[in-house]
Amino acid sequence: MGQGSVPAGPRGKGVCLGKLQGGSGCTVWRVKSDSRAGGCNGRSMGMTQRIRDEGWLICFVIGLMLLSPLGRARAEITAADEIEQLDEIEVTAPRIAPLPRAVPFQLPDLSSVSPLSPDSSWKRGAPLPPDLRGAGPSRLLQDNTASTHGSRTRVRYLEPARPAYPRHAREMGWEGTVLLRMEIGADGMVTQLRVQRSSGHRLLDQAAIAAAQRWRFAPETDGGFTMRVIVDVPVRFDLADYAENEPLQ
Amino acid sequence: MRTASVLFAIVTCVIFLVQPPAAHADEAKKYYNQAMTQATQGKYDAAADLLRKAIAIRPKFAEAHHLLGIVYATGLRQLPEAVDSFKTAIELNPNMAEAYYNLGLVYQGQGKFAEAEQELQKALAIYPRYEEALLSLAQLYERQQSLNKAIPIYQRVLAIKPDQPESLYALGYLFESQGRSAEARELLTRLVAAHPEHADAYYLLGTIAEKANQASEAERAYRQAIAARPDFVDAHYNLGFLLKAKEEIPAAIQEFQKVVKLKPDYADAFVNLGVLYATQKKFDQAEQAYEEAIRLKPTMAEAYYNLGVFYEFHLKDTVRALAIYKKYLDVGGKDDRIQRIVRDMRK
Repeated sequence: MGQGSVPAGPRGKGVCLGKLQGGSGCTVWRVKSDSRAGGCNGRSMGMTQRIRDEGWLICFVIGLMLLSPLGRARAEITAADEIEQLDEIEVTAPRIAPLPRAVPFQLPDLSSVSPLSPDSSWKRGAPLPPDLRGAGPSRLLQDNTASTHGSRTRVRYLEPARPAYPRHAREMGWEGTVLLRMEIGADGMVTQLRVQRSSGHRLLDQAAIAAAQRWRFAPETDGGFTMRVIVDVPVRFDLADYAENEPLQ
Repeated sequence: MRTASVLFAIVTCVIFLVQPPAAHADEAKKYYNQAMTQATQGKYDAAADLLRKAIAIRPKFAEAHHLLGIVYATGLRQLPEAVDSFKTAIELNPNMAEAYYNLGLVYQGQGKFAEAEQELQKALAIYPRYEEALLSLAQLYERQQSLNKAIPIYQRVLAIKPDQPESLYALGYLFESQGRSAEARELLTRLVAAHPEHADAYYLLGTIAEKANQASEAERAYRQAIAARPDFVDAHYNLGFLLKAKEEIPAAIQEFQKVVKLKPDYADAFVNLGVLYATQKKFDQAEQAYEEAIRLKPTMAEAYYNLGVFYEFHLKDTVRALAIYKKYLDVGGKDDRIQRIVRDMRK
């Protein structure tokens, strides 16, 4: 494989895989440099294109591992259109407590005095009525839409395109798993992509990258919000079964 | 001869001072009665003047000192002078239970609770069935959270006067606060039977019924409380909750509207109105209600929470929702989901 000149990506030491077309609206795809993954050139990309339609059965195992800085629990996957319909309000009312009781202060009352009769009988002041003007009930209504319908949905594939198994790699018997790290934007598009861990074969890494650029996702959502997320996607290239079932063309 | 004349004059004066003639005594009584009339009409300065005249004529006029103490305390709010007058009255008549009682009240007003307790106990030592002194002592203990002392004294009042409303209410309240709801309910039921105008008793019965999940009974009690006192804010407030629970949203809105009309600075009620308006899809009114709550109480996290949820789910405006959620966190909101959203949206 020839080595072409590789422009450095603007974000540092990565090696550019080229400006890829994918209709994703995203810009330059960058792959972080790896000890086993070298640069690329037009030839390697051409090879990728040539073998794309060869019908190799590719073991394509993808596990989405959502990056979760706090390791928080996530909700079950739910269809986006269901979320749009969630529009209800639930109400809770906490336990009721009696009003704080303000015991009134009394002052001497005229009625405790008789209108002058040295030997008058007892006449006493009436107690003041209880003063209940304290803080009011502390309970509040709450719009519980968020607790009932504000669950988080994981990012999920909409159009997973399988990578092609490069012919040269098949010929060479190259296998391996490449781990892609992808940023999925709030619109479900792949906004950044890099090889997090190489398969050990640059050609396989490139094939995975070429396919991943066309992937589309339903973005991660949380209630009314859609989230940008970063995911790691392992792509495994495995020749063993194909050699038996599907001869090289 | 001259010496004899001087001695006669001195003796006459002493006799006059120690034992005033009946004419002077009648004049002092006259001033006293006039003072009583003036004080009853709220003319406390005039009453005090008359009493001072009475005392000038008859310095040992214990009742006049006593009444002057009341005028000082209740009419003129001169508590130190009132204390002095009551003390003088007690010196002149150590059996004057009312003076001890009133001195106890003034001490309570001054925050001197130990002295107040002492004076009330003295009044009760003279007259053990002194209902007002018992009640005042019970309230003193209650105010000091000495409920074990307060309760038996309230019960002593009821032994003297079974329908005494303050004692019935106080005991009902204290029993309820101790979880003795059945006893509280019995006392309060007695109270409203004897005093159907006692809105507070109905209200407390309402809260007891609500705790027991007896919504209909609670609603009835709150409505009776409102009938007895139409401007009873908290009864309207709680009734609003009950109506909401019954899904009678327009009626619940009506109650909270009454609340904010009676108490326009009641931010909590505006939050409740916001939630209910949102339920009714009256979005403009909901937004206004939330904004009013925030205006009234800018640090009220619950108002920001509900307004944020309103923007996010009802108006589908995540930009404004996010801005409000940030404020919610700024004022100390702790909701996990909102913390997560704000953190993730900052990425």
